[in-house]
Amino acid sequence: MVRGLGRAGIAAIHHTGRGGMFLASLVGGMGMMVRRPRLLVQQIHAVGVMTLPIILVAGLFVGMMLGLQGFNTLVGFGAESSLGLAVGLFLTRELGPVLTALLFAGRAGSALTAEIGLMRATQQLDAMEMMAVDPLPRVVVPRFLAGVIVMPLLAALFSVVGLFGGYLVGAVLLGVDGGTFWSSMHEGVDVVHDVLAGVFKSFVFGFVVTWVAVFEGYSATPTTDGVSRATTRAVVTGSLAVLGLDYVLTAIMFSEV
Amino acid sequence: MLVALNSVDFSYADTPVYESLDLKIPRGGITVIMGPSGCGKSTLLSLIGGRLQPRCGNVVVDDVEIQSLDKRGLYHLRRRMGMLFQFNALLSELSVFENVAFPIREHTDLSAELIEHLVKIKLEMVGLRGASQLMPSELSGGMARRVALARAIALDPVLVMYDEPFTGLDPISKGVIVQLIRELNDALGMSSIVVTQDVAEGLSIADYVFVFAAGEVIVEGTPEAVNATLRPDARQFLDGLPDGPVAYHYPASDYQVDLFQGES
Repeated sequence: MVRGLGRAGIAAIHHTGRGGMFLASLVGGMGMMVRRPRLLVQQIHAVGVMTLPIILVAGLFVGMMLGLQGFNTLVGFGAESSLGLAVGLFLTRELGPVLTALLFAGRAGSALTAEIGLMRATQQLDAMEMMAVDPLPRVVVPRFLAGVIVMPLLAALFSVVGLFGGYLVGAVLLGVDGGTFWSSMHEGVDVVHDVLAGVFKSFVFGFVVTWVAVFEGYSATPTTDGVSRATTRAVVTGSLAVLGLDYVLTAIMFSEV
Repeated sequence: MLVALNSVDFSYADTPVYESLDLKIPRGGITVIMGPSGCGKSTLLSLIGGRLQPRCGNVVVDDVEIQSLDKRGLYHLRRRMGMLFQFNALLSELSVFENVAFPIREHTDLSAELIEHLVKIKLEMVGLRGASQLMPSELSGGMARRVALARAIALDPVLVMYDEPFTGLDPISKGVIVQLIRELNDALGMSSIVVTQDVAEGLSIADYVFVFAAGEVIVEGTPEAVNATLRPDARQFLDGLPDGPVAYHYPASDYQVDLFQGES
């Protein structure tokens, strides 16, 4: 058992090391994006558009849930006028970046892993290499950069739609004054401390989730089973990394101590 | 010589494939590499293309030693090579036209108009000019193989490698591919290396043949000379005999002992 644990530990360290080397290669291949920005635009469209509907729907429901739960909690203290503040802080600081990243890992991350993994399994990447085309800058870098760019935008949209959902339930359905809802949010939510911190979080999450997704796809065993396992691994690793990093970033950025 | 393998040792982890393999492939003409599954035929193409590195010895292609090249040098050499993969490896997100145009776009600064002309010429050579706007998923096996062939010759390479080009094709498509390999090789003045298990097709287009078994060349020569060999292991492969030097049964313990083990 000890031997097995040791072996698994070494394998995990080896895998992480390879991931680091892979990231360095990605950075090295980014020069191509300057010469061929169209590749990046195509991927931003593909990654962003295919994830947008799920983000908007989820954002609306989460905002509505926050409005309802927030009202039920605050009304007991006679503080329902602070509903806008509560919804705003929850969304911009935490739920916007984190839930968007989790949904992104499940939707776009898994698609990226499967797409690149299948290209590996069907020898498309080998064919590119034999055509003297490096698949890393041609295939992987545009997808990686697209994920990093798109994630903060999706998180921002999630939060905006979520705020609207919170307003819908809190102000329209439950009777909180609309002006109070927005003004409490306006006074309590700080652009730098809350909004930009959330944007920074979503950028970090996008970086990690997309890195894990493209790495797992690129290094997938070139079989159906290998691609399947790589896709699962990408979603699980990406999601856990988001939750772990969220705690670390929250502790660094919002700790009062 | 276009390709030379000199005392090449190669193994996958602990499984040796070649030990001190020497092989010379002449410039021009079609060289066919034949042999049973797992004898190292496709590995040979990977070594020639620089996708694998030998443990010992060297591989020389067009007077360049592959091991001495860095990535840039290797890619530069590969621009003079074309490869047809066993399962075609067409880029699934690109149309037939874009698949053939892909290497031209990547390696030249030709105008869109000129690229269109070149692609149409290549597609006409394989009889698929009319299918240029189809996606790979809309092609039959034979059509996909022909598109892959058009892509392999897009940059007018000096060497084209074919990995099992006849596998999974109906007799008509096989005949088409046989004819295309011969015609393209002669018309474009290329050299071709064809790795195949299909004896009839392989012998019909070969100018020179190597028969592999267990990682070594057991027979070589013109198709007629190879077909006349009396070596039992070569005959078993060429005649498709189920049993012979390559045993039908995987090594196992005694059958009776295995069946009645524990019964008394």
